[in-house]
Amino acid sequence: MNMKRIAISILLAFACVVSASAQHNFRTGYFLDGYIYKHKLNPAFASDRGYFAIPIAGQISAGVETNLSLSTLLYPDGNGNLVTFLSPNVSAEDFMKGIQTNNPLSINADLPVLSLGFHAGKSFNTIDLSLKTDVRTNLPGSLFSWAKQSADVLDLSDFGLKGDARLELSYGYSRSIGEKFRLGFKLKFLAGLAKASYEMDKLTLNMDKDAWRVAAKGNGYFSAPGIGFITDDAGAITGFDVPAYDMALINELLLESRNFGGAIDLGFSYDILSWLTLSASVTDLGFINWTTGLSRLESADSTLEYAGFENIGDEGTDVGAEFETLGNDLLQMISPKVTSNEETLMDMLSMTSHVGLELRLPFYKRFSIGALGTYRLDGPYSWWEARASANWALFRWLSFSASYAQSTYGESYGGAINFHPAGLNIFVGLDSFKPALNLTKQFIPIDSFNTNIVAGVNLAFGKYHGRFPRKSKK
Amino acid sequence: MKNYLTKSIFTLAAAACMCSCVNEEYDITKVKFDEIHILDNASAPFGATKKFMLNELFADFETYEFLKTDNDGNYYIEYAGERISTEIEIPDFIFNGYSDENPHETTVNEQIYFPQIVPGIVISPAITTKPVAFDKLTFHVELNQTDIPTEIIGVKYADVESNLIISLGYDPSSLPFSKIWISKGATLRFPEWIVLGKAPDGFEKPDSQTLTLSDDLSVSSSGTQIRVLLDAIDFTKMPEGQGLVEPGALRLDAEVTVEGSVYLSSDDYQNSGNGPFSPTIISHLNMEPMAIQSVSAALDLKAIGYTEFEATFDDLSEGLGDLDATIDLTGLRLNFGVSSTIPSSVDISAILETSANRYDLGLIKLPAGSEGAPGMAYYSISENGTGAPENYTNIAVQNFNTLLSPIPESVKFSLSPSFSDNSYLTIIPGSAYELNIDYSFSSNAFGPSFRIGSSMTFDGLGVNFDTAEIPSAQITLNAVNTLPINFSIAAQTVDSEGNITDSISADVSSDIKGGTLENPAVTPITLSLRSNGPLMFDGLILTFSAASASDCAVLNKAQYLQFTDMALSLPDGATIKFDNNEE
Repeated sequence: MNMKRIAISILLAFACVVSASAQHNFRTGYFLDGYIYKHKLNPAFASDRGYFAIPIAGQISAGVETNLSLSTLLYPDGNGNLVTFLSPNVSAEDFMKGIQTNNPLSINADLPVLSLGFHAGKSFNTIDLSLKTDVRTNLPGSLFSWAKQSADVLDLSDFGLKGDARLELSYGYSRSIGEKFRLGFKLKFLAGLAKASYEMDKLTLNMDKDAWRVAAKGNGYFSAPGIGFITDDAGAITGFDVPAYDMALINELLLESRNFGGAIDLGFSYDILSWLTLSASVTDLGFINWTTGLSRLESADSTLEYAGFENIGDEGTDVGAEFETLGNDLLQMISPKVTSNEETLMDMLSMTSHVGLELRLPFYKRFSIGALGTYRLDGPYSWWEARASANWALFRWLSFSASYAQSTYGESYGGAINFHPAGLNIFVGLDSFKPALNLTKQFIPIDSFNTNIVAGVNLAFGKYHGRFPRKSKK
Repeated sequence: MKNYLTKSIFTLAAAACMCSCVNEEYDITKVKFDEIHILDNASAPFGATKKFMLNELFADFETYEFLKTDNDGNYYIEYAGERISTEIEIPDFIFNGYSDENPHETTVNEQIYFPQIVPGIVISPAITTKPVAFDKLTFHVELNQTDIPTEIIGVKYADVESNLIISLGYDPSSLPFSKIWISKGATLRFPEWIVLGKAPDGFEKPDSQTLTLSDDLSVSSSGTQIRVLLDAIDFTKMPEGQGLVEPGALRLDAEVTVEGSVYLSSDDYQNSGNGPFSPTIISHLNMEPMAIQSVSAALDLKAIGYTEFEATFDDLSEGLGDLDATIDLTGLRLNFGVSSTIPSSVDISAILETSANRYDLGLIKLPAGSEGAPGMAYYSISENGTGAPENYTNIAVQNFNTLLSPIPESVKFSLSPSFSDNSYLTIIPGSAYELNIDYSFSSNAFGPSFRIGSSMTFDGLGVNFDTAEIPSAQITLNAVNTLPINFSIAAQTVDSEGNITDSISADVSSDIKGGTLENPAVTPITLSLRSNGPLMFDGLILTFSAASASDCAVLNKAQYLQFTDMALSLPDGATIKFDNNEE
């Protein structure tokens, strides 16, 4: 298989992963009137009516968050072809404009298996069973700089890969306290399904002229139901032991699992003025205690210095053999080794906080301007976003929202429409139109992958509890 | 209907919007991965070579027999040439003898009688007559010999072994006695050039040319011989016209005289009568052939092949020439010893000569010797005339260090006896004389013109960037040199078959400076490789040309050249091209 095929395969695989995955919560929807999943952003928020999510279709989302773009990686050569950033015709200066010190790539999925919300008195309650996966990695800018500019230092110390899958059963409760204040929380029971993480505490390659020095230290965990490692005597991973899954085995594995945890979401909203509302939330304050089938992976803190070979020219010196030995040593050094298969870990969830401020036009309160600050605390995969939105509740059953954001991943332009008459709630939206503004012939975003595409169909029921109640005929 | 229309319009609008966002320049089916450019200014350390000792840098440096090391490991050159040996032989010859063909006769100058004797009366016993002088006897010894070896062109002195025999008798008819007595005091006189030996019994030798009878000598009528021992012939005392009058011709003309008186004894009387008597004395002179023990002679040197001895050192150039070297030997020394069995000291002038240079080594005093105990002389020639080995005599020769610079095709060592035709040697005819010269060149240092070349191949590198376009590559290194010689380097790349790859040019940034073991010289070197095609090579040939870094470079076994901190860098990076047609 040639390079072209490999690259296309990687791109398609990447696209498939994106499309099959959900995104972080749809932040353009934070101020969108009638959007029923606001409670996932802030548990103090309640939907206009009660709802019942049509399984799977309740919220289908696709997205990815990364500052990397196709236009950073591929360049038109002027002859109708595209060349990679490694082409001699692409200047390093142009290429490095699109590369940051850290280039995180975050993908998560939130698949609502069961989602239900209902009003009870002054409170709003939600019951939600979701399958959540969270995969993120970070590609240090040093990697690109080294590849393109042959920098002397390749520092991959922030390189890592982290992914987990969990089943989340939550109960949310919110209610108004007084006329202006609304408080909400969500309690979550978590069952860890799989986890894989590996963080390089240190991975540097100094390629000085006099010596190449590699320093590495890494650690991580792995747990996947039924999957074990095949290792050599030194603990180095040589393969995976994957069983033949069937329902009986899956049941057995699930029943055996004791990887449980809990989390809480907290939020409030406060109408400072009749046209100004402040809101804030913290979500996923919790942990999963992994106690079953967790393996500990480590690369010991080690350094390897290659300053060339000694005694070149001596009959006993075989440069080829020494290179091979050096390569093996390097591989041994950076390869993770399984140090334990009975590890326990209190794994904190990645917390996300939101702070929002919504200003409704005093003379036309159906139109508002919102400002939302988001920060996700996730170690090297942490990111922030500042998003401003214009929101228009044209009718009580039809609303729009348009947003602009600056974030760790660059700028984005979002938009959403929510059709939410009685009995139905249909929404579609994007956190960023930017990817759609410049597409390849295959409709792959060129300038940015960074977006959220959300759509969902839910059944709505109950009395309207929204901000724009029908005026009394009196 | 209205609803469908709205949906259709909306869908078409959305599709049109999407299509308007399609960038025709981006078609991921047309991504070209066939060319990437990486590794700009990338460098990788390669390490250090082993320490290359001199004998590794210059192939078979130590295989030359003339290259040796002393106890401190210092290299020095010692070239021992083959012995120059010559033999001269002086033809044997003798001086002929001489014999009288006719007897010399003489009589007494007065009559002899017994005054007391009465006729008819028996002579009383034990009565002698008074001595009566006889007339002086003169023998002419004349020798003309023409078989003297012509190689001898002059003779001064010859030790001989011969006898001169004088026979004295009388005519019995003139004297009725059984014997006649020669009174003591009779003298025999010889010419000055005859060197007499020990005086015969009954004689004394009052001077070198005279024998005197110390006791009365009875002479029978048949003759009594007097054997006179001849020890030598002194040709210098010969009158002009005698001696070796011309090559091969010897002429001697001498007078031997006998003077004295005779008397008679009554005991010897054999008849009656009282006289007077007048005896006739009859004499002969013979000289036996003279065997020559030694002779001080002037020799025709050309005729005996004793004019010039030469040795040509061809193998010197062969040996050193293989080194691809220009040898400038500081402290060049020529040691030679001469042994001679010639029984005379000889002054010999010695000359060393090449096609470029000529060195007059001066006079060498060749001591006298003999067979079994040759005379020995040892000389050590150097530019400054010092430092000769024990028992050797220093000889200073100007610019001697340049003798072997450049390495000559041959060196001619000539020895010429310095005596002229008038010089005399003491020789033994028939003997052979040996003259042997043993010599060696040595040097413990190399001068500023010292040049030596070699090449070294580093192969098995397997640099094969056939899919990469690498316009240039640099190999940087530090040359650590403890050898006191400067190196210039030229580099070439070779393929796995050992063939030079013409498409790759290799430039070396600078020469390597010479250092010492105590203070190694570290020279940064950049080897720049440029290719107008794929950069593929399997090895490097480094061609060294070395020259002395000082006026007096001492090479030592411990000295080395080492390349350290070697690194390969790609200043212009690498453009890797992939085959787009590969399925």
